[in-house]
Amino acid sequence: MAKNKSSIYFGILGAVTLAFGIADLIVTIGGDSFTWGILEIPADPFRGGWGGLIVLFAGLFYLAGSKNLPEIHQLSKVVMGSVLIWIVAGTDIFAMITESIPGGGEGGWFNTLEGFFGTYAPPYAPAIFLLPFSLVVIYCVYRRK
Amino acid sequence: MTIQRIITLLVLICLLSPLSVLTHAAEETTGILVIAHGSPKESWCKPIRELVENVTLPYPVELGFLEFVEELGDYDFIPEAVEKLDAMGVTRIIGVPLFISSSSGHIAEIEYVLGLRDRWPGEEDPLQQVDTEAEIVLTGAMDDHWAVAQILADRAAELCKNPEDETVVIIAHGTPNETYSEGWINSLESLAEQVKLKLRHFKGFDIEDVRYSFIHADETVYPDLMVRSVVENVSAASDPIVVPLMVSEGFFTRTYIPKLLENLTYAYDGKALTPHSNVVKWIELTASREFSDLTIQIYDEDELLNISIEEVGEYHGHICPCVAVAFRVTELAFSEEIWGGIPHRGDVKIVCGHPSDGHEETFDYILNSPDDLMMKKGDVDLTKDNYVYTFMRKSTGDSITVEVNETIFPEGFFDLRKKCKAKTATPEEIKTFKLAKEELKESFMFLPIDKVFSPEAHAVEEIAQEIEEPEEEAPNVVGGAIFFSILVIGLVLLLALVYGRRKAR
Repeated sequence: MAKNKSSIYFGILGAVTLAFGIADLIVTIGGDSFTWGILEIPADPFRGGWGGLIVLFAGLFYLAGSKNLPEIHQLSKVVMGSVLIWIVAGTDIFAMITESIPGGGEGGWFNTLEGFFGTYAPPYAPAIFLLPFSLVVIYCVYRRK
Repeated sequence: MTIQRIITLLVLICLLSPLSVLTHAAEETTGILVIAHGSPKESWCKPIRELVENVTLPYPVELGFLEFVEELGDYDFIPEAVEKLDAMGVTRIIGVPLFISSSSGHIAEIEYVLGLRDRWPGEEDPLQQVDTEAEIVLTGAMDDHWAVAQILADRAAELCKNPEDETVVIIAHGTPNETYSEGWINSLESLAEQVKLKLRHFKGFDIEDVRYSFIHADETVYPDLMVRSVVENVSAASDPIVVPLMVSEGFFTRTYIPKLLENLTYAYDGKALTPHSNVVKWIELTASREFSDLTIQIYDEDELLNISIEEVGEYHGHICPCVAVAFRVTELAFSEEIWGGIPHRGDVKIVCGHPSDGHEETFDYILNSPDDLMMKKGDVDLTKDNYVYTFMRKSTGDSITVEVNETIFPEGFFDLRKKCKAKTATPEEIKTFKLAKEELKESFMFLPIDKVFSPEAHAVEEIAQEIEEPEEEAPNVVGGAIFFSILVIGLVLLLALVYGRRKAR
């Protein structure tokens, strides 16, 4: 039963991830970034283009590995999908961290508290939303051990 | 020995050739020759001479008559006027024929006199040709220019008493020559339409109609366009206001037209186009179009850029009045007298009181730095006060503020604009507004710069305060703090998990 649940979970996650990847690429080709509430799909070649391609492949890995998950080769595909999400989300978070510390062009050396927290404010790229859901794979790996 | 001579010659040529270019450049001077028909009566010639004296152009201006002024003594024929320009060292002469129509045998005669045509077009004895080395360019005649339409509208407005029951009849000389008839008819049709629009929407006279007629035309082909026929026809349903389309007052305006309309009832004062400031304006615009070099120089680091108005127009999509005025005001600010040298990109800041794409894209193209441009917000209710510009030199803090002269805007321009922008304008009002925009564009592009702009005493700070700075959105601190907390908690949990597993081992 648990085996089925995890397969369904990563199947759904894979479909959503794939959809975000395609959306990323379409928005990048369109040239104008897209914002909907707290979601932002960037249109720049790095975050939208490269990031979209990585997210798209993450979705494919999830979908490919979701069937018969306890099998080591299948699990490794799902882990690979999560790693790809972590790379994209990690670069986004790293960018936020580096951006949040220094002050602005006409300000002091360090950012104000308001400016610091403001850097972490929404909207966020799709990979950030996928990040917490991708962490479930860690539980699966530990459980298998 | 021969080789040495050739080398010496080549060296000399190399050394002297730039000098010849410089000498040639220094010699190149333009002169303006205003050409009028002429009359044995001084009362006809004098107003023309007086208005030519009021023409303001950066080059010498002379007046030459085609014929009939020999008895007056004090008035020059074309060859004498050209001689005067020659004596001033002019190498290029721009001939501006102060004639009603380009479709006239007189224009062919002028071309012959100026040496632009080999054969004398008339049957009588040819007139004396000019003897000059200067290059000569002849512009078109007045035809259907808006400045002429404005004069006719002004003349008609002076005679209007009950506009709803009145029809304006423009009377032109015309021609019986079939070759030129079409040109006259096209011009007069256009002028009549412009006068109607100007009277109705610039001056607020709800005139019934504007018609045109000819004194001389082929009566068998155009019986309905003959003066008496048109005025009689109009009289049947309306009160005619008769306005002559003549350069100056003389035999036609004082004697011939009243004789043609004998026993008819009509309003008429016999006023011709001169004297009127729009004739001066037409001469200035027509001549300027020939010699104007609408180019701005600015340094982009070490590279000297020559930016033409055509390039800017291409960037914006077309040359509209906003592009034209933004370009000319930049030309004024970057002039040697004001800027004192060629400006550098990055050292210029422009504050513009007119919120339009044409202005923004023109300044943007010239400066190539959006941070150095401050545009006022809003759009619908513009007035002449929006045409105010401040140019600042960032390195020294010097600045100049200029505004567009109020007199340049056609009457009622801003009211029409408001209606068009609010989409409440009638099709005729839209047509009038388009016409007004074309007038404004031409005035901005070609009128002498001191007639377009005047320095304004606005303090720079005052202008800058009027400009709404784009509001920076306040950062979403709460959202950011929540996300940051999740990140930190997640990291702590991850570390705890890893540490816990290690300890369990």
